[in-house]
Amino acid sequence: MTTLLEAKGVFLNYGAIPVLKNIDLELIQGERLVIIGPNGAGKTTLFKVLSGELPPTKGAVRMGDDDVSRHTGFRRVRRGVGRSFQVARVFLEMTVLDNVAVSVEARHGHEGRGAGFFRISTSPEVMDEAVGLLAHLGLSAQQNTLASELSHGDRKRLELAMILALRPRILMLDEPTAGMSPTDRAAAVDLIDRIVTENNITLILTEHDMGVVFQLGTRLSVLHYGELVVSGAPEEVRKNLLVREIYLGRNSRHD
Amino acid sequence: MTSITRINRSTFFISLAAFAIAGLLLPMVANRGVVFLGGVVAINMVYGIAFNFAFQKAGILSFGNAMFVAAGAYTTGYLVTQVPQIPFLMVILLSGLSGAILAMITGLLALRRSSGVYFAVITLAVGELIHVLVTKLTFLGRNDGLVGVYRPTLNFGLFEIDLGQGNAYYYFILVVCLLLIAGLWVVWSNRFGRSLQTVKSDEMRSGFLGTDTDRRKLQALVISGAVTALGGALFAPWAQIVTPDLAHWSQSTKPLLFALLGGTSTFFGPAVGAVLFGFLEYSTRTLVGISDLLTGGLLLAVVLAVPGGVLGLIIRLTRIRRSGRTEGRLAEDRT
Ligand SMILES: Nc1ncnc2c1ncn2[C@@H]1O[C@H](COP(=O)(O)OP(=O)(O)OP(=O)(O)O)[C@@H](O)[C@H]1O
Ligand SMILES: [Mg+2]
Repeated sequence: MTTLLEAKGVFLNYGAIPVLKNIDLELIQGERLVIIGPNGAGKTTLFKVLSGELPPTKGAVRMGDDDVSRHTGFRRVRRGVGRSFQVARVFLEMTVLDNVAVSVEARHGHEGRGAGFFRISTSPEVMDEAVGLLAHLGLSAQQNTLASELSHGDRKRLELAMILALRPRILMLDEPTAGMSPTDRAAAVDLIDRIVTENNITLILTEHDMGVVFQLGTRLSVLHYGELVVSGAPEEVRKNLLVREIYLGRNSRHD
Repeated sequence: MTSITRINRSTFFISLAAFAIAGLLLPMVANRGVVFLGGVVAINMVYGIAFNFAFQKAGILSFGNAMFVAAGAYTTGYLVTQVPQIPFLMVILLSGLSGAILAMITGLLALRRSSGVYFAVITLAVGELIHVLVTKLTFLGRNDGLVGVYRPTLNFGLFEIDLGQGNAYYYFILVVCLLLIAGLWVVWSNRFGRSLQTVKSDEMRSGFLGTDTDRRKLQALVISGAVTALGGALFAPWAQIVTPDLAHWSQSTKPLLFALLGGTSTFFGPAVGAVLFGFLEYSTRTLVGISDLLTGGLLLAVVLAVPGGVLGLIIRLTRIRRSGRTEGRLAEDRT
């Protein structure tokens, strides 16, 4: 069992307000870890710390043998982290295809592959890869649409295509199915499942929908007011009474 | 739909050729005063495009034009008059380097900590510092600046070109400006340019694609500063005098005006703006006292009435005409 990403005694304060308290978490190669917890529990904040958007106030984030706590996001991306945002972030004024093409080019850039200074247009090789990714995610029809004209669900799919263009080892998805209709949600879950399996990706995600949680997760961790209270196989966690009380029982968001 | 991954080269080459031909023909049809203005406009085009490169591609609003111009002009002015044994092309390169260094320092100090208007104000402040500095330094001539900056001879070993003869220096300016514009177009359009665009579009997303966004912005500022300083370097022997006015903050508003006048969204917008501004200045030159007022008023009118700039308007109009034509043809087909 290889630990790909690890938080050790992580605290995070926004000003004086503690949001993450003494988080210990290991992401094991090949697993699909789902972080659940009520609104405001700190799930997104945990993602920010794990991905390098925020340095921990105290404690450390490690990748392999290295302490990456002070490494900003782009350096972790170069080590294989791909991250989505709770509200998908894409380049709104670019076409869908261009969004993915610049992502492929970004990977080529940090892989140290030169494009040739005088090569003006994107190479056919990059374009083919981008077109392929869009086909894979079922966005071919929208290829030439401006990203700003996409629905929120499609933006999430586009964002996923952009992240996959980076060929990540670790995929961090913050509520990948939020705001989707039940049919779109089922399709998105199948898609994520397929992509993660095909590309041998280690997955960590947050999710409110219990169906999605149990369908995708191989391990579950519950975040409650900034503390990881339970962690284990999905069925075990489900049975855990504490969780029933603090999360499943009182969660009115989807009722 | 405009795509940033499939660039149309011919539009660029045709536009550049148009500017080149107009520039080459100018001395044949115009008097010396107008040719002088032509050289100034060519340099202004470079200022405008260099400013807009940082602004439009990387989202950096910089009022550093004055200090970069001053860095280039003073370096060239000083070296040409005091160290004439340095080959002129080397002098020009060193001038560009001075702008690059100044941009690097400003960028390292301020780009990480500030953006938008805040960064713009910092560039103004650093620029003012440079302005005060050049008025105090004896070797830069204090308030008088450097006079007698002559146009030297280019020595290519096998042959020489005396830039002091006839219109030689004018053509030299033209060639160098066209090269600089071509260079800027390359970094505007290639993978590096696209990477900059992602930084401007959504810095967070760009960073999480693995791009070192701080470094990208610094690179954009350095390119803009170096190219602007190269323009300043060309200007020194053209005016044959370098004064602290070049470092005054009002100099920094010029490229912004060219960009707004011509349009910020296209590569050549600021170049068109610089040409229009040249026409404006020329046609109001005899109206002493009110010429600035007139120029200002006209600029205001254009900026308010045509938010996308003149080139933006032309492109919009041709698009409408073209689509109108196709619609007409379709209608004919149907009948
Ligand atoms: N930039 C910020 N400054 C101050 N407080 C913040 C900031 N961002 C989040 N918080 C607070 O930190 C807590 C955790 O927020 P976070 O977004 O991590 O929760 P979450 O579990 O992702 O919630 P949700 O399920 O709604 O997405 C919340 O109380 C929130 O109000
Ligand atoms: Mg959240």
